[in-house]
Amino acid sequence: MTTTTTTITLPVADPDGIAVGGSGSGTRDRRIFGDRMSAARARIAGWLFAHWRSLALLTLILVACGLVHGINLDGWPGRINDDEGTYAAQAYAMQYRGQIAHYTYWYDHPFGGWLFIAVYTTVTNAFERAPSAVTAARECMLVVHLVSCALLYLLARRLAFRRVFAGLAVLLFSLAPLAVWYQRLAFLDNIAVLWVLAALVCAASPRRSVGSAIASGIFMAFAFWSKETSLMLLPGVYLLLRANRDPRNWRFVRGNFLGFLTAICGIYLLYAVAKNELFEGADHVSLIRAIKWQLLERTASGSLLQAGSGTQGMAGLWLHLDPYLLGAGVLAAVPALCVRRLRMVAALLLIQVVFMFRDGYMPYAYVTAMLPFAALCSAGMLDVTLPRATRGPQAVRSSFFRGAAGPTPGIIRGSNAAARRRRLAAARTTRVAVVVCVVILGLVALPGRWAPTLRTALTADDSGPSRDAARWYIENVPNGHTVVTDDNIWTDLVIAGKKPDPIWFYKLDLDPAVRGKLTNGWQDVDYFVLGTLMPSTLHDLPLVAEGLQHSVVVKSFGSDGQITIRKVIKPGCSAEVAASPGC
Amino acid sequence: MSVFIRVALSVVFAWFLGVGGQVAYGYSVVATIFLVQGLDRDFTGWRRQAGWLWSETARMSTEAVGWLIFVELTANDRSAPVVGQVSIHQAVVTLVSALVVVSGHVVVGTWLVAVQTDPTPRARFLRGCLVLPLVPLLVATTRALYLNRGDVALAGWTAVSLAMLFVAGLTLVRAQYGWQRPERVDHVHLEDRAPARHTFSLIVPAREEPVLGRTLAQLLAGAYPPDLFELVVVVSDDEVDRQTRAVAQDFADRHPNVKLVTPRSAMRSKPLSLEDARKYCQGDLIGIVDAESLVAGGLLAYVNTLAVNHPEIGIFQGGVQLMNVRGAGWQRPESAGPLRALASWLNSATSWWRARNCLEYYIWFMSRLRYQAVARFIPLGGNTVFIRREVLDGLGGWDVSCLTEDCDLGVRASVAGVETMVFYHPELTTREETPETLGKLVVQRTRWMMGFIQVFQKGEWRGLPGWRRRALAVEMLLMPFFQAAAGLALPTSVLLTFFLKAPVGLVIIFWLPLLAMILMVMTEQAAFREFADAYQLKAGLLDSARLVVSAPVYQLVLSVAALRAIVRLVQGKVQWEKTTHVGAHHVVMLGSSELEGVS
Repeated sequence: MTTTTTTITLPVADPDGIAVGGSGSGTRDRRIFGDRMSAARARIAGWLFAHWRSLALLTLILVACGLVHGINLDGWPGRINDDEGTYAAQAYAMQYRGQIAHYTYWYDHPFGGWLFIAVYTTVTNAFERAPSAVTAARECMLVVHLVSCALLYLLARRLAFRRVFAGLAVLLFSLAPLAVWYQRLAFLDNIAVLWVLAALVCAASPRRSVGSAIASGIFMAFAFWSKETSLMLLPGVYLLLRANRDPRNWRFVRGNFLGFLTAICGIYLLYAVAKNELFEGADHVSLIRAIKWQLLERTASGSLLQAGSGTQGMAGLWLHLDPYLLGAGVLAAVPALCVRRLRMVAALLLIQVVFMFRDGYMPYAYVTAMLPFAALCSAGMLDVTLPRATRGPQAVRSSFFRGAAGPTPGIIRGSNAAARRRRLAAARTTRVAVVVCVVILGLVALPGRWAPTLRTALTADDSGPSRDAARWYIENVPNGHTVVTDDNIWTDLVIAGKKPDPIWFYKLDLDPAVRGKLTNGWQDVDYFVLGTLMPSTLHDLPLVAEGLQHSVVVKSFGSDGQITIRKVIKPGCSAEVAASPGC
Repeated sequence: MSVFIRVALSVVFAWFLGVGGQVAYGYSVVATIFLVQGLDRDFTGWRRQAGWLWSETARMSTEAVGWLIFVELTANDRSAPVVGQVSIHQAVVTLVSALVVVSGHVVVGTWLVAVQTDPTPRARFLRGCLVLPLVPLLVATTRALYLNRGDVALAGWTAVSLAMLFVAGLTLVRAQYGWQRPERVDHVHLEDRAPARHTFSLIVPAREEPVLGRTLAQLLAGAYPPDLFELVVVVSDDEVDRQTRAVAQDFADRHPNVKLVTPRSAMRSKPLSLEDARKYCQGDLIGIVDAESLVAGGLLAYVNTLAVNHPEIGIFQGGVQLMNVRGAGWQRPESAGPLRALASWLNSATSWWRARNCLEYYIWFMSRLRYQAVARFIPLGGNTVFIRREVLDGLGGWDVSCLTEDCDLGVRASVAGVETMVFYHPELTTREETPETLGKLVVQRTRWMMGFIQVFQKGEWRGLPGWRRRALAVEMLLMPFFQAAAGLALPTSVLLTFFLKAPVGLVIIFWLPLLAMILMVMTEQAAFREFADAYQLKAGLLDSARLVVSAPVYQLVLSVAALRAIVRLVQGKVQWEKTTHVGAHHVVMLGSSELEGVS
């Protein structure tokens, strides 16, 4: 009863919008497409015009930070921590073997972090290009650092920082020697910090849409997948989202943030359930077992207040590298708690400081997640102190935290108007003076303290011994020897095609699957390529200790034998390198 | 052309990707079919003449012949394919089979498929023979499928899970549209007031409506000037409706702007009534108000404002809201055994589904319909919808044969490029009641789903410009069925994870739809709170918890309705099953502060 295509004219209709004929639709589509293209072009141009100052500043900063972090990224710090090698090896296992880890995955951390590294190395072919596997992972950290810098700048802007101070925050975050040290290391914490920053940026989104809340939740979940300890920062992210809320869609924002976060984190649990590895069992690894170990059984490093505790030692190392960033950050964080737009950032820093007072295990890279917030607090307090140009609130582009504009200049009337105006002017002058003093102090103190360390960072090659040892072994020891090594070198030997596969020294004692292959215990091992091991570590690894006792140093690298290649001397064998395998 | 592409592709596959032999041949055939789809227009010409089935059969069978030739001729090549090399022999064989395929296709296509619309028995027989070459291929495929049945089951269920995830995600996105940005939430500005200019004709179709009198009284008591609107009440002229007709007649006698239309015919339905009434409508804007609904007093004034401010908009859709979150008291029917009593109680006194039903309306009008309006494909609601008269006449009125004439009208309007505006504000919504019983809910849903299918089959949505809007139409019209299918598949999926031996990655995929469902539940909670706030309902934790628990059961009820709709469509039963109303929300709402001004 009806025709399929009906043309309708409305009383007052726009001339080209309504009428749709069968033949005209093609041109109409094309025109719509053309309109869209030009609209998109106009949007991009508008965006560039609105943000060109930020873009220019950020580009400059990123180039500087990229140079400082990129030059000699492999040389300093040296191979001070085996974890770097472990993550590189696990990323290698993902890329080339399609496995989650190079040995049985035992839920030490969720595997998102080294998945990230593996994605980078796959895309850039890094393992085959870089001089060592750890170098490949460190390249990935450079990328992570640069993205983190951009995100930090964005976050600062969204917290209504002026551009200068946003830039300052990034510079502090990037150039402090402590930051260079930790952010160059291939640690999961760096990746987690990247995701946390992304989550914060989305949580502070001026659009306040459900979509940005979803993105925030997803990024927070990615942070969990990179390193589970980042959940410690969840309250801060949630509170920032809450502070930035709009009552009209807050319920949806909250629901989606928490929902996506839980759902994506829940997949980790689901993974364990699907593999039947959630609960403890006699013959398999388990998630709950690993959590128990991480939380309860790991040797505590003591509280920050205990003299001589591991935590105190760690803090000492940090302050030795650079006392200023952390010091200024913690100092600034206390008053920042009273500033609405800085409160959450300050809380994020202080939560972590407070955690150091408890008597628990202190991971080596604990400080990593404190750095961005210390930088934000320091630069933020300066931003708060320096009065804004009297032009008023339009200086703040961020719709977030309108209170950031400071006292709105009103018309002051009355008898003591002049006195009040004078008082205001005096307060302004004081605030400017304070900021100028702090900046001058910083300019005087920082270069003296930072420059020497940064010079070392750009020139020293502390990783040389480890790389040389790997190369020497690859070039001088033929296939067929069983070698026990640390994880920094493990991947390099695998990439070089050494057979049989090298053994990571921890697994010799701790992995039943490895032990099962070496029926004669230490006598099945031919070589050790190891740095100096702590007596406490050796105590936990009896096979390694015994093997080392029956070995002689073949070659040593580094000034005081940082890393040595040792040959196991079995009864009735000679100590020569060329000796036949198995002997 | 086709021949060349085939050979070239199979060479490329063998050379660069290292797949040779039969695999490469298969790939190249598939790739060619997709590539040349646009080129061989004449093939598609047959399709129009001979139908989809036969033209595809022709294609498949010629391809099968080509495949058999290829396999036969390369059977002796036992050497493993070397990457970066291609044997001349294979290239030649590919060429030969490609030639055979293409020429065979052309011959078969012109002689057998594209013959006249009613073929001779001989042609029919030959056409049937086309199936023969397919047999070996079919046997081989079946055998392969059977041998790998475990993998096939896993792959199938993975596909089902991903589809469910997609459906759930789509539902989630659509449900949240209205709240995506804060400024999208408050889209109605009551303080805007344009002078009363437009004249309204409100059609009130009534069928056995005991509450008609109150509805009419309320409409007349609205804030719009009485000389600018008329009520066209449609009551059929039969025995069933004598009482209702008397009520309407009474109003028509007392009020000059109430018209009574009493058509006489054996079969009555809402679209018929609307069509009967349309002839008598004289206003600029024709509105539809259900006889059992409570219309807000300021509604007409607001629609007038919109119509004045937005001359480009052709249709205005207001919000309709079910209000009785809880059911009325239940009385045990007399002379009924305990089992019957239980059934009656389950059917009518339970109210777990009422809250869900109310919430559905809230999300539908607050979010989903507004998205559809912006996307410019909208199935209209059947109530509180206002259409400019020239638009309605231009569209040719309602389709009296359709079960969901409102949806159909919306689709036709979308195709014709009429813009629609949807507004939802608690002070402007038309309040209605949930169906009396669960059974009636199922009946109502069955009708809607059948109607949607009808509209889908009518195929007018194909005239929408742009594939996106056509995809949206398919999504909209078939979504009830996707959801119903998901409702049935979800429990199965969870069970399967325990029984199917699957790799970990797949198990996680099986669970993903469930995670999406959890997100949906959280969204519903948020929406329910908003709903309760908007209407100052007292909704406690218990209501929220009930909402969560009832979700899967409700889904099941909808699945039942979907099955019922499919069965009825197959049986060809397309007459109206009307939902009756007793005015429960009037009872519930009486005395509530918000309605005092209205009633």
